Amino acid sequence: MAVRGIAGMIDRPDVFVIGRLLEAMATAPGPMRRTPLQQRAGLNYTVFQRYLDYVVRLGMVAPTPGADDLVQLTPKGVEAYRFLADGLTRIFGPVDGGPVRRGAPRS
Amino acid sequence: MRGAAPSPPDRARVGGIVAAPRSVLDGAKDLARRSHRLSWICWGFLYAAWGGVVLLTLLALVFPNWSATLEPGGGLGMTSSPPLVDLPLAFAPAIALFCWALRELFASRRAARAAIRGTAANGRAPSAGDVAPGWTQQVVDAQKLLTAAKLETDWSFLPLGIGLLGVDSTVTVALNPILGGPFSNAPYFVVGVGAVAFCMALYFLYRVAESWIGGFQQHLDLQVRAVSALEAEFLWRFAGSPA
Repeated sequence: MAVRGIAGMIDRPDVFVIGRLLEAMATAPGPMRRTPLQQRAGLNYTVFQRYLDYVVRLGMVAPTPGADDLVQLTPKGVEAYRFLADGLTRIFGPVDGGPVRRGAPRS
Repeated sequence: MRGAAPSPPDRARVGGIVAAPRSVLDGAKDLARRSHRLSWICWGFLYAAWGGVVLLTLLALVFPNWSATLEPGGGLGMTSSPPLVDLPLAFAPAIALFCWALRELFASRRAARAAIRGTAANGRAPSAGDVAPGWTQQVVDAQKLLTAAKLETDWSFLPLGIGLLGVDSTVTVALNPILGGPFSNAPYFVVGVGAVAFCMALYFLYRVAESWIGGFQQHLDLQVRAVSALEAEFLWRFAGSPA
């Protein structure tokens, strides 16, 4: 994982890590706090923080209006997740506990 | 909805993207395990084959089975050879291990093909909280495992060959009385034919092992290229640059 020091700036992002973050949110019942999201994505804190800032900067994830400690997928995030899930399924085949399809995130 | 800690059923559902790269390493680990088992079986075959040779030699010394043979000068010579009935008994463990090695070899090839076709069990779904292993690290680990497995499998053919040589020579000695004694040309012919047949069989088996591990290595290379392409397309579409 090539990660750089400036928040939200990643030299060469790992699509699997982005995918894990998006998947953790896409399969959750609703907006999530950061710590449970980090646990679901299975990332250490530093990597999680950098990648969360990165996906927020790209507009895939946004803080929930009225509750800044919660984050949720945006429509762009849902589209990105679908793109990654489809692409990885095409490459690796269906994986146990595979991608869960969802529509637009609940607000 | 408040973002509370996920309940156990929700946690269990995470895993598609997490498990995908892990399936690569799981597949390589499975191949490495099979290769290691094959190596043990082949070394076991070597010991069993030469154990059979030693056993037959001891039997021939303790219970000599004399037979008269014609010598080149025209006289009669007496030679002792292991009785033919003892051959299957002495070589039973070696034959069993050889069959087991063949079974393992073909089962490994089937498993590798299933992994390449994507019909194999594709890794466990991890539970939430597992720290994500990086894709690059997974590929590097898988490649290391495959290289080691290939080397181990290649070296497995050495004990297999030496064991087969022992069986071939002992069978030839046991056949001496039938084939006209040690001074006729028939045993050399039998040794030659046997050795050529064993070499061909070994070459065929070596090709099977090559296709098994080489096929998985090619598959891994294709997956790495496909992931790179996916990564570039993803970043182009969603981050506005190909990184």
